[in-house]
Amino acid sequence: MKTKVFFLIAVIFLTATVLKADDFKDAMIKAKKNLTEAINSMDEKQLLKVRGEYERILQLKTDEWLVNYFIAYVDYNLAYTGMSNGKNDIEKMKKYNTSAIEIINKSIEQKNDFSESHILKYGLNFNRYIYEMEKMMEIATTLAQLEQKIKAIDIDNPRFQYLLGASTYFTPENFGGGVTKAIPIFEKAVSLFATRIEKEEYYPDWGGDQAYGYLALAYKKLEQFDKAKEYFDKGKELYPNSGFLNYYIKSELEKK
Amino acid sequence: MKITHLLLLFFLFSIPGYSQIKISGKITDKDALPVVGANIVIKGTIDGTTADEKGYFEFETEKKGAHILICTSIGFKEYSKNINISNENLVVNIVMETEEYKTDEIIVTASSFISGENSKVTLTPLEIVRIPGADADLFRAITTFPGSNQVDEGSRIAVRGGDPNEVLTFLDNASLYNPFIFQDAYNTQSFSTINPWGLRGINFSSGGFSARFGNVLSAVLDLQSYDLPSSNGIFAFIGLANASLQGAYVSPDTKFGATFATYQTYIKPFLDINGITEDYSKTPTATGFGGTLVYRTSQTGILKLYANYDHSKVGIRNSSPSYSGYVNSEANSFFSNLKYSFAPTSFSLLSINASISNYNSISKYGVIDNSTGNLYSKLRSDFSTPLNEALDFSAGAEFEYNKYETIGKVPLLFYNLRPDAPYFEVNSNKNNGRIGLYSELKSKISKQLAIVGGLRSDYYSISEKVILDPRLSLVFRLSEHSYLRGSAGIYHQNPALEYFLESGKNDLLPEQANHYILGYEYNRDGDYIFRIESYYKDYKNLLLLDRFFQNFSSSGYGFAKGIDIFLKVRLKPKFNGWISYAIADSRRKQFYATSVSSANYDITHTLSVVGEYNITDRLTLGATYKYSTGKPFTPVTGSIFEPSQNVYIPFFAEVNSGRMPDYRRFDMNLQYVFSFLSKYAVAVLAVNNIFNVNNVFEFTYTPDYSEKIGISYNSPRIIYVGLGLQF
Repeated sequence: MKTKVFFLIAVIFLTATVLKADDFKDAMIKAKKNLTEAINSMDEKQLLKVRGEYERILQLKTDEWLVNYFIAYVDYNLAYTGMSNGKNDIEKMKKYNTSAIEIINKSIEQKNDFSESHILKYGLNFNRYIYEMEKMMEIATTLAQLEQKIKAIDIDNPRFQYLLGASTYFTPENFGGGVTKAIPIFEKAVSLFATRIEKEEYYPDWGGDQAYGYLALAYKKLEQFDKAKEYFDKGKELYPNSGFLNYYIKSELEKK
Repeated sequence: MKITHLLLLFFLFSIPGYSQIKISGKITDKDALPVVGANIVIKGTIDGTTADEKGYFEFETEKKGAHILICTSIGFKEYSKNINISNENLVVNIVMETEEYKTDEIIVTASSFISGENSKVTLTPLEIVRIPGADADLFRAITTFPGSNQVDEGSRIAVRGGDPNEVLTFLDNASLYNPFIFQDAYNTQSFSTINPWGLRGINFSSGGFSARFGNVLSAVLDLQSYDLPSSNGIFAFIGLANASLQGAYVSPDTKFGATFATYQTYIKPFLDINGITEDYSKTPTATGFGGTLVYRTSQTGILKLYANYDHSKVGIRNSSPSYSGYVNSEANSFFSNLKYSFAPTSFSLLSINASISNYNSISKYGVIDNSTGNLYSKLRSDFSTPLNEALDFSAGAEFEYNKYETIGKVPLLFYNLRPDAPYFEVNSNKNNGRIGLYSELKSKISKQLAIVGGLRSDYYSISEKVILDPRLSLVFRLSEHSYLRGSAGIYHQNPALEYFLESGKNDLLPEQANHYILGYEYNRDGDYIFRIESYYKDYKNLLLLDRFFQNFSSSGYGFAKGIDIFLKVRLKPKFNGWISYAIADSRRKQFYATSVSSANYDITHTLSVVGEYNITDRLTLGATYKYSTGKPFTPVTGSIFEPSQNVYIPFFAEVNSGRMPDYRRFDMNLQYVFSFLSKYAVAVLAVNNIFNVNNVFEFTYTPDYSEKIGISYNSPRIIYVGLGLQF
């Protein structure tokens, strides 16, 4: 009889655990789908809604490091709503980027070996150049340290290569950057995106469309228009719903 | 059977119910404005939603009974409320409170001007380098802050009526004495040897500073250099008067780093272009080199060696009442600091330093032929740790050895400096050991109030005196951007060893200053800063000539009081500027004074106006205007001829009873950043003292003292050009 009761309790416990895990997984998949849509439309209200979804998922107390990662990633995108479409809302960029850094640090404290968190932190610190130019030296040191850390744990991460490419793209040639130097890095990124398989459906998988988009822009700057179109079309084929490609890159390529 | 019942019960509870309850309401801030995008959730569930653009929310839940509703949004405090969900829909209206500012950004110490990583910095290294007239010199830049004055046209500074030797420079916890070239050279501008680009933190405190700093009376310049360079590179600069080369290397695994910096002056083209016709026997030259070696011993451990050597020499014609000839001087300075720091626990930090600061100089003029040496060696350790969320503790100990020696010929009669004048030979030295201990507690009493209490004690072996210095600073945050700060404390500094030699006794007491400071600051992220601060300093044990025994005693006293005002505006990305004004009254009965009179650096009014405008992304125009009341001096009232020496003996009025003319200067510079041979390049054109004002810093006299002659620095207007190139 005792064995049966024990068995019953075990079944109940396992069932509850599985149900909770399913709740978490379902919620994460749904939130990620909504996040992708919000990013593609660059809709601040939608992004705020998704942020709320992730905050609510935190209540499940499961893999909080990953949920925090996504909240920081939503803030990373919210920060850009201050700068898109010709806007120059530095205060908004600063507000969301600062929040994102705070939250990604929390995520790293919870799980230090998740390379994606360090990669996102790299991108967030790079954004600080926009509103904290006077802290150039400190930012450069932080980026150099993060770069070393990421290289040690996940050098072939396509998102890292994409961000490296972007930082090279936006760094003036005089300071060791420039379009020509950025292209091979973006090309490495797209080749890595092609073979990358994420552990779970709801894990981070962003950056592919941006890598293709910047490659197209880079070749346009070098006046290699065929190459630019080739990468744009390839990006569109792989990421047909990408707002970044459909709106931003498309309009940039159409400019004379 | 029982198991079947239990299973039935379990599944009954597990099947989702269909009686859903609607929870709705509105989320606003305290001004009744909607909090768009606020997240609302039932704690422990994912039931919730996000507020719309009017702050309204609505969601359904199957939960029943007592629960907690949580509401969050960036920039607001988390809101929570107990709710009871029954069978009826719920309406919950929420008013969210703005998040309190973070107390860790509060700078407690009064009178601090900070540059570096803190978000509330007063000046960035870039701003320091760009200040017109400051010639990329950290100390000259500091003189644009209220309360600090240039001693002359050079880099040495005097703070709030104190002497320049009452300012301590601290680099990576090591005391750096004499960080200047041409410091003792007659009528030659001194320059600082510190490279502002190598600094990650600059904290200039003109009073009320921490118990960390001992043996200093007036002000502290606390500098932190970079541990590891952020990247590899070389920067070369060539200018009208000097050339320099700097480089940095960091290993790919960022475990090892090295930097170097070297410079050479060659003044001739600069003198020719500016029409300077001074009679030099040795054109001023200076050479310097130094660098750092850094090794990361562990995740938190850093071993760093910093070393710097400078050599300068100059020969310049001078006419004193008794003799006209060349003042020849030569100086060498060496500074080295070995520092090891690591984190014994995840929160605490321990650092250990061993440093040497050595300065030697030779002066020759007429009968004077004297060399002096000042050696300081120091061992120091500092430890800091948070005790809990509201309390930080730090403590440290240091042992410093100081040796002063002087060898050569010194005139017997101050009024006769001719080569054949009577003299006496000196070959003496004195030394002192100082042991210092300190501890400090920083307490965040509330989100508005923080207090730092510290105590330090120093023992001076030469006088066998022990002093005890309690210090207290507090800050009260009035609003998100405004603060009230106050400081009070006792500060001591041993007289320079040369005075122990002159007095022939070892019982001179450490000089004492009691600081009392109260100020208000408005600081909006460094973009708008307004600061007003009043201070009072009470001096005791100052050196004073004992008229009876004709040697120094510690019976001098005095006071300094004043108000400093600072206003800075930064309009990104085009304009950056600030205005500093200080009014001060500093009086002492010190050195040769017979009554309380103006201190040597009692400058009543000081005004600095600095502005920089980015004409384009590449071109920056800057201007600085400085005004200050003339420095006190001791006038000569008459003279008598002394036939045996064939010279006149002057008679002096009361010490510091005269004033030099007021000081005025207007400087401009233009900086252009461009690409040169595919490299980053910066070109500088600077014009100092545009209006050619003849600023007098000293008086000399005709041989019979009947006529006063003002001494000013070579050519008043200076033009300078330079080009920097990064490889």
